[in-house]
Amino acid sequence: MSADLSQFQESFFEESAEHLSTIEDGLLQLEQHPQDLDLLARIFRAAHSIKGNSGMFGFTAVGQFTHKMETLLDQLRNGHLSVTPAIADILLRSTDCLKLLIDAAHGGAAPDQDTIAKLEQELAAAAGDASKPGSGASPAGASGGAPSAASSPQGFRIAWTPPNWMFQRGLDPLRLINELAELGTIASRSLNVSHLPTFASLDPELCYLS
Amino acid sequence: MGKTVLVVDDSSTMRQMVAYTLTSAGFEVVEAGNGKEAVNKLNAGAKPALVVTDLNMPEMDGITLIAEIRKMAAFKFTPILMLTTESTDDKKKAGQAAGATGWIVKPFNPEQMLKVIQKVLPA
Repeated sequence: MSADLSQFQESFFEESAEHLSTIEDGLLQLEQHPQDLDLLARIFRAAHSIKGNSGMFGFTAVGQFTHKMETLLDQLRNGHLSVTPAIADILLRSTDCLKLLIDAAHGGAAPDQDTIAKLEQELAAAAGDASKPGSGASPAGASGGAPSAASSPQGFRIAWTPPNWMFQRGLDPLRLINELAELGTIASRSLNVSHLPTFASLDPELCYLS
Repeated sequence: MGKTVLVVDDSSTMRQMVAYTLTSAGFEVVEAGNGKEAVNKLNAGAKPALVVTDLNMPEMDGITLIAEIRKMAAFKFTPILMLTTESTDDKKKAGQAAGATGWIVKPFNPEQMLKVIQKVLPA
């Protein structure tokens, strides 16, 4: 059932070309309108899309470089930095470099490593070296942080009161409990119904159990 | 007929990849290019069992979309998964506060995406 997504590469290259011209046109307009936040948001989104999509095809060089551009664009977009001619120049040269990196992913000649490294440094310096180390990627956010069961016979006593808005985020407490059960053996389980109101005052959209 | 999933992303390449992954697994897919389009599709009668949405989009972003969906009586409890890059940690929290069920990291792995979906979809 493993879906092969490599068939969408051509779509990536076509879409990236559009994003590149959005970035380039945007940067040129930015020289006249350095305060235009809509324009900055558009440029940021274009870079962000290239980054997000490149990862799907393992184009890490493209992703890493775009990330550096994105970090600087983010600072501009949030108003932490303002657009100067020097920053616009770095971004324009970076866009040229990004174009080459994407071409390289498409089978073209790889751009000069020194140029890339130098631009990455310039981008980071312009962003005030605000590039944070990437946080660890976690595959699913649906589950809470439960300690994984160790191989020792040691047991855990877990008491959990689901927040009463659980259902309103499309979450089912029972699913989390069942998932927890997959991590080990359940010795005993108990349900606390003490917060259950009378039937007449029960709001079916809230979770009262723990 | 499989359950319907509403896929919201401004990148057509990303939408195609998510749609392909989901249709391969037997889901029906409805696509929208931004939050506003998604709201329009829901108002026009789309009945998804699940929403998968990007966060950074023009017209209406994903966080606003999640809040809008939670205001609709018909989708108050529909699972909503954010499809997001690892660099947007604070946004992930904002999405959860707006009512998102969970998230899938971009770039996504098709099998992992389907696993997460199985976890949040009501049987």
